[in-house]
Amino acid sequence: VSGSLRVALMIPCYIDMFYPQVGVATLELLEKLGVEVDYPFDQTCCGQPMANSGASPQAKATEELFVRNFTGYEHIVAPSGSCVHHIRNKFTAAEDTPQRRHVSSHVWDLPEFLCDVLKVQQAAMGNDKLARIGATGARYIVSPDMSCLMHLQGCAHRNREDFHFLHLAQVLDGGAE
Amino acid sequence: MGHRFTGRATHTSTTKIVYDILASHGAEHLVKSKSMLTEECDTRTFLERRGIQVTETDLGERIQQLDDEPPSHIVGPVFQKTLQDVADLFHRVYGSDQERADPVYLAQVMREHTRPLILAAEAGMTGANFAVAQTGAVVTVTNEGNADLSGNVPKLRICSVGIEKMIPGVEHLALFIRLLTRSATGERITQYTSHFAGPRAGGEMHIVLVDNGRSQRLGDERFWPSLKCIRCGACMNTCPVYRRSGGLSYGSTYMGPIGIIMMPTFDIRRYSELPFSSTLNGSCSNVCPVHINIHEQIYEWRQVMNAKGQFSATKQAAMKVADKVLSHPEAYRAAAGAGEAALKVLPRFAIYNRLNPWGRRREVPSPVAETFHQWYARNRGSARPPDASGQRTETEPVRD
Repeated sequence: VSGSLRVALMIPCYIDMFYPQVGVATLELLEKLGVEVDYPFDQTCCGQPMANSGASPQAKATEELFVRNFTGYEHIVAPSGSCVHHIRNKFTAAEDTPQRRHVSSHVWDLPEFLCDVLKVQQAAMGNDKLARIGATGARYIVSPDMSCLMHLQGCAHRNREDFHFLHLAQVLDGGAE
Repeated sequence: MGHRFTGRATHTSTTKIVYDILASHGAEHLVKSKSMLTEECDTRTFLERRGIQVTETDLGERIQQLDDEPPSHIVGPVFQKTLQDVADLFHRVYGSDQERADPVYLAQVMREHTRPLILAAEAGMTGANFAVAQTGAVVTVTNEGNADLSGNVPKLRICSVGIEKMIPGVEHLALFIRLLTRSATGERITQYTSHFAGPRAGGEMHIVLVDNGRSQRLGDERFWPSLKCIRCGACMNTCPVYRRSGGLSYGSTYMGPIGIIMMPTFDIRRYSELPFSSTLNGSCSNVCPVHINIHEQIYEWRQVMNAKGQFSATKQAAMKVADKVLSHPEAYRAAAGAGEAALKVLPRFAIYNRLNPWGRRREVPSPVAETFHQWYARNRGSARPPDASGQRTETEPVRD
């Protein structure tokens, strides 16, 4: 993994106050993936609570603080889809400046950042599933969804595990030999 | 053809026009098919107060009429009632068998009691799903055929039509019928699509074109798109708020997401809380067959309610506090410092909603021993990160 991509971590107010462990997990996950994470220290909130309440004018100063905190980054990552939506599509209380436009167009929801920017391609779910299936002693894996089986079969072959994969139709048709 | 057009009526003038037509014919019994426009104009109440007996002919709408309730959905007015509710109601009103909560039986009871009223009525009234300029026809779309009975049996026929229901020609109608029926009931077409292009032999047909604020809305850059609505109800069916609370809870003629954006155009003060009956999830906009940006408009209406001074004093104060606290890091740190203090500041602004206060049905989050900010300061040093500007390095995407 490359080690020099740098992001600003945005921790929404409610996560800061009530779910700090989510903030810690986000930070540690990004670091594990080799990302250099800055936490702009003067951040508070994106202004969504006021704007969604209909009080856009009261969100202005908060949005402007957000812009000041985050405008220097090419990637702003937050573990909260609705905050990202607000920053990206509803950041209209703050004055329309190049800086404001910059933060709106460079903010990412965490999973989006993982998939679309880092392009993390995970086989972990498939491997977990195979491990659990293997623990039952089962050797045949049957499913009505061949694409799911294709995924698991790919994981199994890579791991050199000896499972047999069958579509449900093959079993009912008597061709399971 | 014998049409008589009466143009551009307002809410009160519509009902007055309808009453005058009835009065001039000495009509005392009116049968009408389901029409949200007549709900909007409060036609039934107006006529009943003047001694006209009004009978709804749509089964669901008739049930609601007998139970003295408005429709709870624009397509299925009685969605909120169970079969047993209806059996109880019919037992109370008609003396039918309360034990038989059977749709076939209940429909039969209704038919037996309503058909004589249809046959005896001197006048019939329908709304319009569409009005086709090319043919001059008022078009209704039903599954029960009740618009046909209401419109064709009495010699005097009155159609009230919202001006936004006008479409140019029959080729446009074909498209709109498909859009409407698919989005409303998942059908390719309903049982009856009826074109009322003229009066029945020896009869009269009156068309009342209703404006009631529509022209004004058309001139509103933000809120005109609600005029595209074809009343399919898809936004209600998909809305998590509607699905849980039902149509009557909105306390408005048009309910659900589309109601939220239409009602304040009629009365901003009365419906000032309505835009907050939404999670802003956008599902309504996704399913809308005529692409109305419903959730965007709900958001916009919230801003309007604030700008027009429709917030309560409590809410105004809460917003003011949120503004001050969240735009000043030191004030925020003081308020958000771990423990009970956070509870004092957060629920008031972040989850403020008079219609559904968080704490009424949910537990507010537990205070934590340490905020993320404090954890970061303790574990990663309180030193501020270096100035980010100009030090960015772009790299190849990371691969796992």
